[in-house]
Amino acid sequence: MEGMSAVEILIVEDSTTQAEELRHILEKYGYFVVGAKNGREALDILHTGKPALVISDIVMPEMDGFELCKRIKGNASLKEIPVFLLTALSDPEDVLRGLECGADNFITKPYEENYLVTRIHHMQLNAELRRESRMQNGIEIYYKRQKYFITSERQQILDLLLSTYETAVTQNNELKAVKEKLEVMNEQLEKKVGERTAELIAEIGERKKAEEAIKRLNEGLEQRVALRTQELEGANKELEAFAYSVSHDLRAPLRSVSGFTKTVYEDYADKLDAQGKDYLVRIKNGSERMSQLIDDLLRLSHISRQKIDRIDYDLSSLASAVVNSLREAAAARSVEVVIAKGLRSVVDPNLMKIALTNMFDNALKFTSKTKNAHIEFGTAEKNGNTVYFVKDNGAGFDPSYAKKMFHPFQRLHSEKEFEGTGIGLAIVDRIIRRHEGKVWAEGEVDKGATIYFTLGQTTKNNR
Amino acid sequence: MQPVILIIDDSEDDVLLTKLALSKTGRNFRTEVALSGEAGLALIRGGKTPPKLILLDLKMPRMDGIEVLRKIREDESLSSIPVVIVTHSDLVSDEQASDKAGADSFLRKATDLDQFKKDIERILDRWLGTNTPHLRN
Repeated sequence: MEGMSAVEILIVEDSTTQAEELRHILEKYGYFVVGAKNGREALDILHTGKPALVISDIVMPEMDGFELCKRIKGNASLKEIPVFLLTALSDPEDVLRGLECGADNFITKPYEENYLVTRIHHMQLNAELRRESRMQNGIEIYYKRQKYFITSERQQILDLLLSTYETAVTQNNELKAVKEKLEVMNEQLEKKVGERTAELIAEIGERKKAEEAIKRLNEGLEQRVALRTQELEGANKELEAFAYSVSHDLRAPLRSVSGFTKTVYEDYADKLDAQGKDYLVRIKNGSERMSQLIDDLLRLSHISRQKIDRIDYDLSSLASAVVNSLREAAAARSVEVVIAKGLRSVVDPNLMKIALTNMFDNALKFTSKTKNAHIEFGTAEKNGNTVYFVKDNGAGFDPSYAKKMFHPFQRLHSEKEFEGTGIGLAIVDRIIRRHEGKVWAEGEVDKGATIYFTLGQTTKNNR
Repeated sequence: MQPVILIIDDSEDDVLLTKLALSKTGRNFRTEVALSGEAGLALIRGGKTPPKLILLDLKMPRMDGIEVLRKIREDESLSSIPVVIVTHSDLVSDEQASDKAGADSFLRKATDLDQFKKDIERILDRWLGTNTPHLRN
């Protein structure tokens, strides 16, 4: 090969860094390099001297690579100079345009040194061959509805195609390498994911086990609660049945005692002295009291046994009815009774009647010695809840016994002061509790008493 | 002929108290007593004339009041006799059963003797009012 030591290459590249890179490679291999920033500059330089090769970027200001190539190939004195175009080669159309303008080769960026140099070398070799054969006939080719007219020589076409193919192969190899790398990374990722998934599954498994354990515990608890509730309900029922039958069975002999005592007292009075009569009176009173207690016990146990059926009801009119019937039964007394209007709630009317009767009966009883007796039934708001009350201005009670008042047979006054067995409030308590409510009392000695009660939501009917 | 009031009750005390209450009414009658259901039925069937009124207890050992009542009502010849249940029980179910079995009235044995006397007086007024036997519908 002649002129190796004087081979000059013209680089046409608008990017300074890329031009420098290319220059550096070429000079390393002993080529002389001249640089131009664009097509126009390049043409100017070409007029002054002919390089052995032109390497040009495609995208440049003023004149692009294709145009430059066309000009060179179109110029009689320049057309012998081989032109390499620098390209990304992403489009087959680039190939056709390259052929159309007569380019000899494509170089892809980034520059693969060996590849570039080999190409230049080949180009030099082929340039000799090219000078010998000429072909003027062009080839028409259609691609994507565009017509291209290729006048490049077969040698040129082959060169171009080989170079594009080589580039494709190289890119393909690069892609393959990347693909393999990806596959390896993928494997590693999958392995990591697998491990993590296994960990998560194990965690979930643990959690599920814990949840299962809790669920079983809960079920066990619920079972025990249900069992215990059943036992309690059973025991309750038994107790009530017992109380009922005991009090019921006590009645008959009690009746005998009281009936015959009375008969002796009435029919044999003349045969008795004062003391004898006195003893009989005590027997009579005792049995009457016993009878009353038994009646009260029976009433109390009846309240517990009774089915509760709650409906929306007018409490005001119920209270009025209760007061009226109590007034009829009681001796004529002037008592002022005030009942708030429009009180309604969801109650069992029968049970509520009994509760109100007991409360009003109490109020009437404990105001029996009060001048200007006053009884009131109404509502108040306490802590956002509706609280009902029956209030009187009677004898009142010692507040330290406020809780005891609601126990069966618990009295806070002696029989001499006020009659009664102390069952009334126990009955009220039981009824209110069956309405899911609470009852309590406030009062002071001689300053009257107030019975407060709440009525809860209906949870279950017929309990 | 004195009308006969038959008391069927297993408690001697209760029988005595009933007799006391009856006598207090001052009316004209004779009482007969049976201390069991079986004895009561025997008395009814055995006698020449049937009683004008039967005061029948409910809770008795062996044959109870309901059974006695049924047997009385089954017998055509006895079905017109007024039968008043006189009992300690305050259960509505017992009252309903008596009614179903054919009782004419249901009376609870009041604990207070004076009250019981008033109740018995009412019974006699109602069922022993005239000399003609009561006709059941």
